[in-house]
Amino acid sequence: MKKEITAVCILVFILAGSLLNIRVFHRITGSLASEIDAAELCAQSGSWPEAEEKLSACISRWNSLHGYTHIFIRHTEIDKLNDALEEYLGALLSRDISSAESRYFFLIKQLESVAEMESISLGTVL
Amino acid sequence: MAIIFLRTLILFICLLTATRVMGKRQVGELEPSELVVAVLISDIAAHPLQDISIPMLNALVPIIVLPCLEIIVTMLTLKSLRFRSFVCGKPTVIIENGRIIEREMRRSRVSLDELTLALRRKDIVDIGSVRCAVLETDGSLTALLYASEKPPSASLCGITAQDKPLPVVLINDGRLLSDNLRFLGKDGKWLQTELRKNGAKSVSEVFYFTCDSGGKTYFLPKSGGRAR
Repeated sequence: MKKEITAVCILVFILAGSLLNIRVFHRITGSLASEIDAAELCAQSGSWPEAEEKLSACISRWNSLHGYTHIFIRHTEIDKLNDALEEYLGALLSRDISSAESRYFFLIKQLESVAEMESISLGTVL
Repeated sequence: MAIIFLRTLILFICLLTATRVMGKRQVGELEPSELVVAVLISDIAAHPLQDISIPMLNALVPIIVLPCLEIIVTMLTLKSLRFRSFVCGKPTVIIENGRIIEREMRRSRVSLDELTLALRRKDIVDIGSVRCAVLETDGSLTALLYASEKPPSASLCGITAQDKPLPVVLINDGRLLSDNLRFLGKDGKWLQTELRKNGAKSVSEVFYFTCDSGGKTYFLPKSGGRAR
């Protein structure tokens, strides 16, 4: 019976860990999205250095999470998000408002897509 | 991670049901749940090895979850007869009193050729001599002959037969198995005497050496020698 109880405990532990992981990951993507939003607001108001600074801080924070993200997310998705962040930073550095805006929307979509991959829904499970 | 967990759970249930629907023919020597785990694990493990962009955790979670599910299913089959018959099926009688039950054969999708093959493997060539044949849940066939067709046993012949003691391996390819030597209650001195008796100087010269509790030995030296 010990073996069976251990099996049930392991399953419960994994399920609980998975649910906790979803919350943690959503918190991370949520805070990254608000930092990106803040950078975009600065860009729209013409405060380009401030926008660059905010986005650079956001990129550094995202990079500091690589240990965690590489364990839980497909590496191809991480690479896509890295590219989107770099492209948005490039657009901010070039001071091109229309380019920055399109890169911003693309980055937010990419972030939402990664967050959605870890959410439980009929679509993601099936 | 949660998605992988749920997908593993869904796939396990689907594959288990599919294996049951496929019938006993497909199962072989494994129970359906064991077959499902064996099939899934071997494939899951290969993906992160081939594609390094897939996190290792994607394979580790199902590899941990599947045996846990298998243990739980096995426990449930032991606890509930209904669940056991759902997961493993029921044994099917396909020959009764020397007559093949066609309906059961069709239901189990066993052809006449397969049935006669399984019987021949049991040295049975005459279906009329079979009192009862059962297709077990693991796909194997159990055949019970009429008493008149069974080979005579020692008790039927009124002979007193004695069980032979089991031989214990003492030397395996030049290696001494000390635990087995102790189990037999022998020591190194006895072994040396036996080796000398058989023309060997050391354990390394012996390929295979056994002894039973009655003291009967079997000696096979390394290449070229003759068994004694």
